[in-house]
Amino acid sequence: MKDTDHNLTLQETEALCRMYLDCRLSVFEETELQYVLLHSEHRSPLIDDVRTLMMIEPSVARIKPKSYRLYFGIAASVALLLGIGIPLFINSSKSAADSDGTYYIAYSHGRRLSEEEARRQAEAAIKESQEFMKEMAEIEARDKQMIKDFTNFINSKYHEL
Amino acid sequence: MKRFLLTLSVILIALIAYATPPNLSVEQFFDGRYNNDKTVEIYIYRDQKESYRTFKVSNNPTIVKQVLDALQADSQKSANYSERIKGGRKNYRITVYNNGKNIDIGFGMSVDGKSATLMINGPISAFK
Repeated sequence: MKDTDHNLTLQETEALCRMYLDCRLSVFEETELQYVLLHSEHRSPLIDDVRTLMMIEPSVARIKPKSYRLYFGIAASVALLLGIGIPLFINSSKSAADSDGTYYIAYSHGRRLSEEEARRQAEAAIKESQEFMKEMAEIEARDKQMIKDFTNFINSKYHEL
Repeated sequence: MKRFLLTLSVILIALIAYATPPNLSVEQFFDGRYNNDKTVEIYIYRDQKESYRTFKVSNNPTIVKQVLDALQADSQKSANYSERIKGGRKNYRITVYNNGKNIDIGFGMSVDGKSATLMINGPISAFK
């Protein structure tokens, strides 16, 4: 029976189920029917009843989890690949990233600079930037002081009058 | 209970507002769109604490104008703004306050308006 169980038609399966319900199958045949119902995709009220009696899940219900598992597996793989791939891609775009999270990126005239060149140029740019900000801050402070001095001067003149 | 929920909501909203990125217009020049432009130089340094970015434009008044426009848009958010014109060269410095930290934005433009340098410095937490 095991050699032909996958070829059983719906009618043949139902006939076996009917025999099972009529208690006309031996213990050995019942076991074989159980095997058939476990692997068969045939469904009918009669077959489903026998499946219930034998405490076997319907075949379709058994197949669905497999497909869910497949889709879940694919989705999980894609998620894993994206999870690993995206950070790798992002990190690869951040050239010269040191282990302490420091990185330098430099583009000059349409060309990406090498790691060492980027470091050198970026450090020069930092120095230039710090000097610019310092100079502007000093000018701001000087201007504020001038305005303060002028206001004090005006106030003192006003009080003299 | 209602009062507690109201207080909690206000605190959460305040926290969300506090932790909002500054979304500076001048940051657009570092998003990669100018990487292949031959009139541009881009230098970025970043570590776990601070960030320095420099954007230099040479002989491209169109981009210089775009940077200037972005800077003026950001000046609306600034806590401090200063401008200095000396010998025709214009220098600007604005300070944007975010997450309890200052972001310094500097901009220097040549007399002819064809070349300029944009600098953005600040602690990493200020950009988050």
